[in-house]
Amino acid sequence: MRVLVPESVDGVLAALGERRWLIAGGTQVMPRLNDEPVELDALVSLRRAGISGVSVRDGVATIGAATPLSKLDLPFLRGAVESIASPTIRNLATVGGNLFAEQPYGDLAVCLHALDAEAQIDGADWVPIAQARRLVSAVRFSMPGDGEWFYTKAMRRRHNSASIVTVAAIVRDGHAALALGGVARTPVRAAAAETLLAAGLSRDRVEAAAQAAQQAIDPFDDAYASAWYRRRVLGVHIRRALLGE
Amino acid sequence: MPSTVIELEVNGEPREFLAAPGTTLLQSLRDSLGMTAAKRGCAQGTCGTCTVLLDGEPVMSCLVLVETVDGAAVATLEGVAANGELDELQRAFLEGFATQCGFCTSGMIMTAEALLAENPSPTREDVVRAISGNVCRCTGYESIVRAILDAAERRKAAA
Repeated sequence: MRVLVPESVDGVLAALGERRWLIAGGTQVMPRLNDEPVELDALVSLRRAGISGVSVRDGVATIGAATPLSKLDLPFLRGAVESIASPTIRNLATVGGNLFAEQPYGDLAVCLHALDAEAQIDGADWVPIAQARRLVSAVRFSMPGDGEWFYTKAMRRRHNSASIVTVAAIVRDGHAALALGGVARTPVRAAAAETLLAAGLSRDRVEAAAQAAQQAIDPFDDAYASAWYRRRVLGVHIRRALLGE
Repeated sequence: MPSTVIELEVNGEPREFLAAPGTTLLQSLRDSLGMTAAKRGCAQGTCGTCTVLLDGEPVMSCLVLVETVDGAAVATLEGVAANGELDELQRAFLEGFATQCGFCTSGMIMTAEALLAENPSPTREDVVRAISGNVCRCTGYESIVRAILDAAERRKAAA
């Protein structure tokens, strides 16, 4: 096996191939390699591919896929970022890698779904975040306005826990986006709930949306919570996220 | 596949060694450089016993391929004591009984060094948050949290 550290996206694309894995922060690939022998020809690192950094221009944030979570310094996402793992992991784990973390991990990916983010594939075309596939070189989204962003994550403890239920939402006049994590193997959008919330955030509408969101989920059992529990508490956390209760 | 020559600045000293493909930073420190303060605990990025500073930031060295950080600056517990004198964090851990079996201690101290470098006056909550990736199975964390807060006070008093 070899470790390749290309210095451009083109270099990474040229290095990829069969039995070659991408590695960015290493927080998903390395636990596997440290645990069991894997027959690989090469690991292709994104660390020096020049795809790190955050820029905001004309209300649109563009984030390089290899940006560590600890360097994602957009104030509205601070709560979401700090809900993910520990500071030491966030110094390694990347924005792009988060898209490929299976739920109940990948809380930033839930946020990106709520933001209707786009992913840049192979340093070229932009696709909706739900269609992201390797190699993601960047993500971009319109910044929400003041008071339009909502996020909460139910965890087994206050820091460094996977998700029981993650709720990320944008609600403004005539528009609502509600993304859920921890309640299916990938982040889901709750379309029926969004229709109700687009009319605004009243208690009745939030109650109805919390009910409607049940249609969008396909929860699972794991060490953090049972599928039954996740379904049972989803509405509670949607209310907490949107009404600040 | 042949090994690669890796250059790191470790605790301020330039070091050069050969690394086989896929070697982690933790393996390099322990096996190539003989620096065994960083421990191999879970090798999953979960326990934090392998925490070192990579270009000043605390990371789990079991998750870092050393070939991807050639040229970086690494700080380990071995470089914390200066001229045979323990630093404030080490003294606070020692005097505050913040170590029992000791396996987590080097990771705890490196994480705390990074915290105090960035935030010399942390709150208790700041400390709890900072060490949330470092597992201790002995102390129940209280003595560790107190030792880190104590070290911050010692540093301010010494300044």
